[in-house]
Amino acid sequence: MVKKQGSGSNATVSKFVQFSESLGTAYSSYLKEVNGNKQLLLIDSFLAFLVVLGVVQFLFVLLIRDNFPFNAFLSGFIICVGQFVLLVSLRLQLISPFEGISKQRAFGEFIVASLVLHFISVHFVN
Amino acid sequence: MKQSTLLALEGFQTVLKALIFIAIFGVAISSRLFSVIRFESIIHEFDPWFNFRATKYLVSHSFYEFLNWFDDRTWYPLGRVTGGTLYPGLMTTSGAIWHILRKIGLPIDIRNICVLFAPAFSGFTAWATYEFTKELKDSSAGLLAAAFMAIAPGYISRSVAGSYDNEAIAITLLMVTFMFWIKAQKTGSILYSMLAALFYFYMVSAWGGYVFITNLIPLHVFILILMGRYQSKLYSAYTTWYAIGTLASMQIPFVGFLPIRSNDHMAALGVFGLIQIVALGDYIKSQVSGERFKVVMFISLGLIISIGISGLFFLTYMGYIAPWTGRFYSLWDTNYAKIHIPIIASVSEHQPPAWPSFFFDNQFLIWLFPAGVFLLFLELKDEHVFVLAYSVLCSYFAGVMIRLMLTLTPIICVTGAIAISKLFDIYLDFSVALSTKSPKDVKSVKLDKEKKETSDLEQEDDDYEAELVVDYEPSSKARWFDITAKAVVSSTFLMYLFLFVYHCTYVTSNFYSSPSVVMPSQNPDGSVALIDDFREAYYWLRMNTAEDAKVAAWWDYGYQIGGMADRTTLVDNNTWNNTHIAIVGKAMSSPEEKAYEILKAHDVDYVLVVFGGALGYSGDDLNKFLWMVRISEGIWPDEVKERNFFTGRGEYRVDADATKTMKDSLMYKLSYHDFPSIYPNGVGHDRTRNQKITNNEVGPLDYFEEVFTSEILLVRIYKLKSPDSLGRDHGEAAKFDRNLQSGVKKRLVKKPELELRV
Amino acid sequence: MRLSTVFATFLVWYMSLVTAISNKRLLELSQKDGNVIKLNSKNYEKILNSPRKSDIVVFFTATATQFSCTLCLEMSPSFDVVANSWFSDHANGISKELENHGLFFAKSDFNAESKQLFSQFQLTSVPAFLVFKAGGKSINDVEKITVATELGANHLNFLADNIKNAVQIPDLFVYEPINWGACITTVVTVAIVTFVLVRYTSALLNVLTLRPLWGIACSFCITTLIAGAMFIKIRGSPFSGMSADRKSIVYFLEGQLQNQYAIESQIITVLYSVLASSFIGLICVVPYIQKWYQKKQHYGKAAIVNFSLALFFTAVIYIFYSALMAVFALKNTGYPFKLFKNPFK
Repeated sequence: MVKKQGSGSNATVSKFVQFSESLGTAYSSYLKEVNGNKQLLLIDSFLAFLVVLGVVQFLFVLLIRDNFPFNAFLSGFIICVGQFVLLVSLRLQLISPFEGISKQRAFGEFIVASLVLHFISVHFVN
Repeated sequence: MKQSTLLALEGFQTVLKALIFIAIFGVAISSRLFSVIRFESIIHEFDPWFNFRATKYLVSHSFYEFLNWFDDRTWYPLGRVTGGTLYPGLMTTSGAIWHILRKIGLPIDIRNICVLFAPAFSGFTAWATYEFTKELKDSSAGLLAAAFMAIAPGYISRSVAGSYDNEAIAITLLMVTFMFWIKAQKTGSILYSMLAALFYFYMVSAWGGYVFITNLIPLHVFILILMGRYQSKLYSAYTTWYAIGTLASMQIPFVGFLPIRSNDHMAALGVFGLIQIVALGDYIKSQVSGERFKVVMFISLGLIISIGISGLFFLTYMGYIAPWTGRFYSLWDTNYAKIHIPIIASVSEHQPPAWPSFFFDNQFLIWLFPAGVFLLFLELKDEHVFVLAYSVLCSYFAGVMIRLMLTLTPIICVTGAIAISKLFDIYLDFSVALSTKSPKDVKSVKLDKEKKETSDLEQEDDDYEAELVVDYEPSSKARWFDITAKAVVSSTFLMYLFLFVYHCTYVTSNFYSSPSVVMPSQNPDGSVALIDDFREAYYWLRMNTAEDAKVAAWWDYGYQIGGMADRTTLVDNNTWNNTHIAIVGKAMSSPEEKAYEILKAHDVDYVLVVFGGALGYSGDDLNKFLWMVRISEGIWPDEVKERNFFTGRGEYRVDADATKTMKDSLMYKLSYHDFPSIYPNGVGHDRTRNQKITNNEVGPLDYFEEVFTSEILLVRIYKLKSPDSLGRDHGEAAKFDRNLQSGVKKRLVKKPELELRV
Repeated sequence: MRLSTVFATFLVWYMSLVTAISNKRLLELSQKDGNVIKLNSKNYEKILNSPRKSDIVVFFTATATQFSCTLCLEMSPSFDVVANSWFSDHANGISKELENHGLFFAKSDFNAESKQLFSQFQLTSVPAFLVFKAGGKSINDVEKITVATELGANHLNFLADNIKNAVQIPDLFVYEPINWGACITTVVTVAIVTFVLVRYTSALLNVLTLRPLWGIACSFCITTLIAGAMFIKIRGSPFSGMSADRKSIVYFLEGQLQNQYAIESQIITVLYSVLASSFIGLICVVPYIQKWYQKKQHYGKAAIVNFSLALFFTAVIYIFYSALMAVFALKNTGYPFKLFKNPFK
């Protein structure tokens, strides 16, 4: 009985160990990839900034416990999310381009989409 | 084949395509013009009149004023915040077209722009369907789909000339949005995604049915993820669409914060979150071994799904997120509307369709639909999953509500076109049978062309699609068999296509081209007579009543009264305030005195009823009367009882067998006032309900006076009597007059008991 | 003089005692067959026309097949459920809140024995529910429950609400009986399915990932939906109709574009499925078989088989499509198109 329990808990412990090990491997290979490439470094720092900005806005609303005017908050928050998402799409295309879309075209599309996103956001902020 | 011949062939193909497109546009526009040619250029039905009135307001005021418009001539005395409660896409498009045409020197009356709006845009729908199908199969299937879409009766029913309703532009935008979405999903391009989002915004501004797109695209992405077909281009396409589309859709005042607040839109948000996780997982998978990844995946997926679903339930429970709105909830729980929202249940467009409606609207495409779906299953590329999800989901919705047949028609056209195109690919291919060259040349050319067109994915699926491998010289007998078989099959289907065109024209001409404001009928000598009673009555109202007169009528006619008579109404087709409609219903079903009080309290000057008994018109108010009773019974069950309007045997009768409550009700009296006296022996024949009405049944009308009845008694207008000059109650006064006439001398006041004066 | 009046009064009192029907007698009659008294022309006078202390709810029905009263057949079990619920709460049929006041249920099926009973109450349509209140002064002092024809399936709630309103007995509660048969079947099925899933997982997975299987399932789903399945479910259409002389079944509700029988959906589903399958046969089967023959180098056979199969499928499509158009012409009178002239007309 005790042996079985021990092997059972061993199994779950080993699963979690595997989980954290995998995450560690992934993180180290990520660092390797980014350090060599200036473009990716730039994009990733911009991404981190956007995440921080979004979290700050959200915490602000929670702290002052009032979200009036709601459209302004939504506009600020969604532009962080939207820009984040566009950047990630661009990043994916820079690493391994989609067929039929060159890297330059990907960048151009990114610019246009970001402009449209900002335009709508400015309109929504009112 | 030589290069120059190929080039010449391609040039010829382009010219042919252009000609076909011109023909499709021409057909699309001309088959929608029946009512304009037969009658006149007039806005049809009921809803389009409101859109027309709003458009007129838009072109005579600025856009800002339109967005902030408070309409005090509807829903009296409440008024309506029209700017914030309508979908402005249709009106803004018409307004923009009007302005542009004026700028280039072609001032067209706004009414003509509104009437011809739908046919003009139907051509664009056909083009969008072509592009959409081209992405799924190839341009020949696309052309077939465009042709079907141009004449399919399911779409024509809501886009004839004069049907100036949201669907006129909504279906066009639907197909355009889907076209861009499929293009985006196939290539992963951010540009196409952004265009899909922008046209989605345009669609949100045009029609309430945009929720369908909001749920279909996430469903497509979700199914692809479940099938294990996640790719980075899917991430790029979906997230761009969601971010830009949601932000843009919140710019419409009517939609507001719904995309964040309502359960209808939560699926899109959920899939957005899910795809972030999947993208992260995909990234980790590329860095880590397969075994390890499985562990990571299971743990994280389990955690996230449980957190997500419990979070959603928690937020809905706390009230931050609204549950499904009634209109959409009734699609799943089909008994919901009948019990809780009888107004929605009573609309004829919300009834489920029987099977003939499907065949009526689509003819032979309806049995090609399952065949096409099956064929797409054999290929099952990523874009086909979209078509399959759309088909299954929409078949269910169209089966539940006949109005949604409109959204099913595009996908039926698309799958039907793909099916027929595949058939013609095989059976119009006479190249093998007619080849005189050596078989090897034929084979190599075919393979070259195919290699250019197909991608790697398609090669795997060749197990399911057989290809004719020619590696022999066919004998003349074999050739003969081949040609005959193919000729027979092709010509049979060509005949079916001809039959389809005849059917569509027949249906459009006879069933979907009636303006319903003007009705055709036949004179005794067979010539066409037009029944124009509605417009006669509305224009009488417009010319002969005060500008601020208030008209009470059942909600069906609210928009037409507002549009043509330009008078203030109590309730119209968009009133969602159930109690307000119930007030009118109660007034119609109460006896005269009570109705007079109710209407007086609402400042009503005129009452309008539609009576079809003299004509045999079955859509009149007496036939809708039970719904008036039911709706008011829902609010005042003690005062109005539906049971009291049915005879002892449970029948709904209007002749001598009618119950007392029925005969006393305002609707009965207003409909039949002076009706029997038109007939020679005083026995009126109600042709709609096939019953006899005599003067015994119709009580006297004391509180209302008849001011107008149209030519065939279709529309009757009554005025509320102004307060009696002697301050008496109208009923008493009229009774006194009647007693006086019939010679009944009755002392109303008893002689006072006086003592003898001594 | 006085003696005769006393005797007369005594006689009247005695007769009323004898002719009144007691709660106990009503209970006896109920228990004879399943909580519902069976009424016919012989015993209805005694039961309904005599003063009594209980309400009686009478269900007039006509279950013989020649009347094809589907609503009668559907409402009968609901009526039994109401009666059974009442008697399970109150074994003697007497209300616990109202003193000595009971409620009893009776049924009368239309046949030779009960014809007089039906004409007595001038019943022209069935099903009909008549409520005879306690202390009934006359047999014609009766309240009628109106039965709307488009009830859908919710008979039990309708009956319960209306009977409660009519008799005004506060402790009448209706319990829907637990369907033990369905419960057991579900449990057993779930057990079997789980067992099979666990034992044969890999084989099942192979089958489930077969694309044509999904294709057929999806197409079939769509076919049933576009053949009007939801209409039947929502409106509760009758299965089929009877001809005017009640001798044969009518399969199609003629001339009505917006209404149909349930059997029509099944016929149409079959038509659509055959048409779609033949079409797929033309596209997939014919080339596949031709390729198969060509692989085996039977070129002559390939051509002949190709020819005959293609013609066969085309003929099937033609025949069934003309049948579909003919059926549609039945529903939509005045439809001018048809694919062949009926040689039997």
